[in-house]
Amino acid sequence: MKGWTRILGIGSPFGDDRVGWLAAEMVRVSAWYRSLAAAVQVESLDRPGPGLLAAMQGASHVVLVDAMRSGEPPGTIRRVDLDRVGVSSDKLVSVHGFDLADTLALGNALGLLPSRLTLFAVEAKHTLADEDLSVEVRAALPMLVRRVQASVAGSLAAETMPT
Amino acid sequence: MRVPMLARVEGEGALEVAIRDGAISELKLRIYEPPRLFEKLLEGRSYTEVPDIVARICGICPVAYQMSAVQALERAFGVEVSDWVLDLRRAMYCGEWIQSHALHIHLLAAPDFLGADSVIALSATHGDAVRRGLRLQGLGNELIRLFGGRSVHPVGVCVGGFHRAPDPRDVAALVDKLRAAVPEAQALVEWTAGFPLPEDEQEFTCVALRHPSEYPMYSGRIGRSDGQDIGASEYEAHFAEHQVPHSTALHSTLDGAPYLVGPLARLNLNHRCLPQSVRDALERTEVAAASRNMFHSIVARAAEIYFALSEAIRILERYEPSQTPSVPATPRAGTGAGATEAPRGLLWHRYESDGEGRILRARIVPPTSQNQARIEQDLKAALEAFGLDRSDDELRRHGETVIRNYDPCISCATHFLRLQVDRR
Repeated sequence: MKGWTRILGIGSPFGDDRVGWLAAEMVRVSAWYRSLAAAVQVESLDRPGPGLLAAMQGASHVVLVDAMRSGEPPGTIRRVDLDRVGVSSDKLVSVHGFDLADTLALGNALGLLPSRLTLFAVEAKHTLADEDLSVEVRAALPMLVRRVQASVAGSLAAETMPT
Repeated sequence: MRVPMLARVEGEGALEVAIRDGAISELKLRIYEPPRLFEKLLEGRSYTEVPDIVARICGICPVAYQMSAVQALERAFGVEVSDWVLDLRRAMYCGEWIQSHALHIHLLAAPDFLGADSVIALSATHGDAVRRGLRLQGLGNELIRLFGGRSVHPVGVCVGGFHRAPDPRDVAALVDKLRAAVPEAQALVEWTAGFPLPEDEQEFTCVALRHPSEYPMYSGRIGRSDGQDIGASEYEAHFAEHQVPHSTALHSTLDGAPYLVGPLARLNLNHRCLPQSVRDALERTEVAAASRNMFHSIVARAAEIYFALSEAIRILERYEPSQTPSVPATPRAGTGAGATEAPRGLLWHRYESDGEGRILRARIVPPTSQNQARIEQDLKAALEAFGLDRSDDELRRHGETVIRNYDPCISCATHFLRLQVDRR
């Protein structure tokens, strides 16, 4: 069913903060995505704040892609499976401050999160308005897209398995 | 004393309070607003780019910026838009009021009045109410998307009208959802009116658009508490913006004195124009027709959600698509001013254009900047009424509540507040 799995690229037009959008776009134009389009939706969101909860509604698996600032080397990809570790805002340091961590904590408190939620966070180098994507984050993009695709493929396979 | 964070007010700020002999001798609200360069950025741009550029000023109230801009530019060019356009602009604006007010009530202000540190804590005790708030916010966003293509920085508005007419099937589907939400909006008014709001009567001047028959949003003259009103083009003769040394945000005054814009000012001046159903809902609360208690703002916001929902239904249930969603605009050299009611209050724009429609000068006065002086005035009175012998922590908490009550806007104003109390 369309929309059961949703890939949401979160970002802004500022420097490495656009990594979520770029990853979403790369997924959208891939042959892999075209072969699955009936089952997967891809969207890019501009700092949605609590609107993220609405954007996740109706999906059984949501893959979020966002930039983070956690002190890791730029370009580091961190994967967090929120159904396993639970939502803990101190583990998620997004460049959007409140927005992602608090929104997920709010969604958790209200019972509005999808049953499966995967976050891919990419360490940003710079996020200022006049900056382009850093070399490190650009280099991480192909691996990021492969990992997003693998995560989605895994949940699609699990859904089609007989119970 | 330094308090590191004020969450739930967007932007950055700090508050300094000097207390001498049991009274506040000096109070400064510092807003670290990066100087807004949008007015300069618009110079030399074509009028056709203005609606999409000004939508970027604020992620919460982009529609308001677009509406004041197109109104001003249409006046500059002598463009008369159709009633179809006027109605739909109002309907789109309703979406912004609903989403912005729902966000402020539930995520920002309600925790203050219900003793919760954040909306996440509030969700444990008032989960149903918060979910209702998010549903209303989502509906507001849907309404904006219907006209603007997307809810953040929408792109459907142009000088002369809209780029396209919405599909009647989409409109009908949304009207059904809006109707279903009416009981939720009614319940929201009752819910906010039941909060243990502080009693704090103050004297202040209200400023809001006034219209002979409509609760103001897109149309009307700029009215004030003493009954006088002026046209948008006369704004600069009465209202002045000035810089204060302690803040990068400009302070506005009306004939030299602070004034209030926003939901409570609108409600106080335009109560009679509300539909009967909304007036009835308000009459069941303790919020008087002309309230002097700033903390009633949250109830005013709830009532405006109820109103905006009803108004959007009224306009959209008789919707018919138009073959001409915009009238052609022919630029000419001139100046035009526009004033509409953003969720946070009066938003005034003025543009000067050359004969080709290139912007020579732009001036934008957002509601948060207009409320700045009033917030300082309120803080002084509210903290004294609260009791200056209280702990710094209590004072900070009350100060935050007072400031947040004005819903200072994400990029028009503040992200956290530091409080410095100097007692001697």
